[in-house]
Amino acid sequence: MERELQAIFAGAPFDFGEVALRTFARQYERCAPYRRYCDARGKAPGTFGDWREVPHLPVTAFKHARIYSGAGEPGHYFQTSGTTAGPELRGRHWFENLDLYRACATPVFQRFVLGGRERMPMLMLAMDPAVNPHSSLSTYLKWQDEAFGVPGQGGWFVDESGLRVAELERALAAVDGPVALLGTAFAFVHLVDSGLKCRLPAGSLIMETGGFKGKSREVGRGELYDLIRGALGPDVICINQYGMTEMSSNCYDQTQVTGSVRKGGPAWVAVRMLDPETLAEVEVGQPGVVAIADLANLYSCAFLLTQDIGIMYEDGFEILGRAPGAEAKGCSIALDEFLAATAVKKS
Amino acid sequence: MITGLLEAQRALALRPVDEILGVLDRVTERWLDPADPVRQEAEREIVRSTGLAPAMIRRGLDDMIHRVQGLPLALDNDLGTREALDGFCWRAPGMLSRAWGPGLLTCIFSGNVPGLPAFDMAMGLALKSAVLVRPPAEEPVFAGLFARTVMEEDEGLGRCLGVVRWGHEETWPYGQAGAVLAYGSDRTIAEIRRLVPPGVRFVGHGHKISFALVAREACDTATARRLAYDVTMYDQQGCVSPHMAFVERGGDLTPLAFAQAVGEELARLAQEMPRRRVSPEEAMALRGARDEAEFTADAVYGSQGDLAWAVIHHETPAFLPSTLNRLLRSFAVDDLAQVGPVVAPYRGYLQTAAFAGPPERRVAMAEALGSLGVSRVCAVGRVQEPSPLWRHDGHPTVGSLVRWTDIEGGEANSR
Repeated sequence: MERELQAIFAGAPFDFGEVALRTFARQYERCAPYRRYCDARGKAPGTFGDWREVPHLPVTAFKHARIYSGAGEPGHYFQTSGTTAGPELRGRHWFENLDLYRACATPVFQRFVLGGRERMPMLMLAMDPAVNPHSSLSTYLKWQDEAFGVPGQGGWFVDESGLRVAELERALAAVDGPVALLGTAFAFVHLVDSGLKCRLPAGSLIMETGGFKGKSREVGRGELYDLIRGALGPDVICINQYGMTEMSSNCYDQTQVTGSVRKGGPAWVAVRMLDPETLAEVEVGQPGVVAIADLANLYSCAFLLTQDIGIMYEDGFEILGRAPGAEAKGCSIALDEFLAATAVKKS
Repeated sequence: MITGLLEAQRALALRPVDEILGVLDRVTERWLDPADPVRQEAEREIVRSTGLAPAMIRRGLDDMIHRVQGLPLALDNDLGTREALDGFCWRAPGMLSRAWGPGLLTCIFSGNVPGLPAFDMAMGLALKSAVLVRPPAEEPVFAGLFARTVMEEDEGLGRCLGVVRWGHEETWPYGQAGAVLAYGSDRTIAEIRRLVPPGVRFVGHGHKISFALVAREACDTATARRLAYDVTMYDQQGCVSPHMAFVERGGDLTPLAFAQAVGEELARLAQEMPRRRVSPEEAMALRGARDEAEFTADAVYGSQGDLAWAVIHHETPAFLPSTLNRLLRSFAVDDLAQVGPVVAPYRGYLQTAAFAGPPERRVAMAEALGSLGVSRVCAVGRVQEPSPLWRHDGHPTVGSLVRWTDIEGGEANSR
């Protein structure tokens, strides 16, 4: 199916449901943990005709099982980032090889982030993939730089000790046209907290992704963008990427595509909001748990149930964030509160 | 409001305790009558506000009212004799003692268990005290209806009850109170404690975790059914509701088969008493726990198509609370003696241990778990019916609220 997917990434027309059902059949056959998950729900290939009935695998599965549907042994994996809260298990996303991953990453980035531009200096607020080879974000950013960056103008400005502000400041001073700053949301918080001030040339943009995960103070997205514009100039274009290590593709604000800040993704990604109780699709405008079908996830599992809450609208979707922990109502205590309380006591 | 309550209390202070208990008898009889209009209104309103199943509310209210009927026993037990509330009584040779209620008892209730205010309101009245009640937002009606029935049976007593919701930062309910009694999360308890002036007795019931122990001698389907009932009641939101069950190997059922049997009964009870509709956050927590368990637990039994109930089974013991809303974690153990070390790190949280097994082993378990903070050992299937004599969270329920005057050298010197 690789060749077919490559064509789809290049814009060839395709029937989403048909490809999805074939992908399901292949992954059901090849990935034992996923097959068990489907069997427990009485869902085997050929027993239903609507791809929406394909069981969506909870992303937590990537922490506990090898979710792999490639041929032979995997050639690479990306690892989810831990949080500073504790030594939690990290998930791994296994790949036969990274060709598909790379092929789907660049056209979508060019459309949603660069707004179709061909070249732009890229400054990365992330760790160099040479240092952090199992970070999907670092690898993704390296490919974007190779495809669309300007040789000699750019670099990686985060290392184990954090954001290298002085170097970033020098690099920003050296560019003369529009520039792209790309990285994690918490690195941008460190940037604005550092007091760095400069006015980026018109047409400059930033793309940030991910949560804060205890690595910086928590900042609302609107507030973060206000702070970024305060530090880097009022006209900086700000784009949020919605993705996760367990996906191959990403979704983005559609600022550069349709003008809407609500999110969209490429044609091979379907995002739906489900009732967490029944997993039935909720109506447009209603919050639900985010379910993703990413056909580029050929070597793992294309059908994912996230832990995020989102709302679908006519012009795109919004992510409300990770579902906050549930609380009990009185002198009883529920799991999430208990974990929070005991984490506080331990730290 | 406080002025009115304190004025009514001055008259109450002159009435004998048995007269007050007589009024409360009439009140509880009404509450146990399914045809009584107030009882019917309470059932309707509680179902409406909490979403809990009607059959559950009916049973739960009966449990709560039965507990109130045990009040004379609780008074005698904690005070030596309840006559100490009417005048000086011999406590020991040469020692005359008299007990005084708090005068004004301020109560803050949480909404997890409807009907909870009945016992404390009645206890306040029996202690010849006015009771100012802040009912929970989730279940605002019961306390008011209970006060109404008291008023209908005895106006003087009724005027000693005030039910009103006040803001979290307001201090007026505490300044003139003799004692404050609060239920809620640890955070809520800490916030209220901060508002209570020094010198006012404060009794807070914060976060607690309860669990069940199944000895091999009782590892059968009958115990499984009783445990499922404990999990089902109040959708597991009570602080006495078991989060976990530790199940001993070597009985009629394997721990795995026991977990399955609990699941079967949870499924049956979900028909009889459907779980309330939960918030998206609660549903996500349930789904997250079940998803995680599919890849980490040894077995997961759960409702299909929704999140109505689940039993997550592990063959090795651990301490992991539930998400609540009818999700039980079961752990196999070779011997129940393994449970102590597993729960020991969480001693501040431990409350009720429901036990199924032979009486001599029950005492041994209570000895081990009591040293770790467990304050109640009861039968599996009966967690929601605490004895009126239970010292809630380990401290005397009535005794914590009274003040004593002792006359020393009484008998010999008083002649």
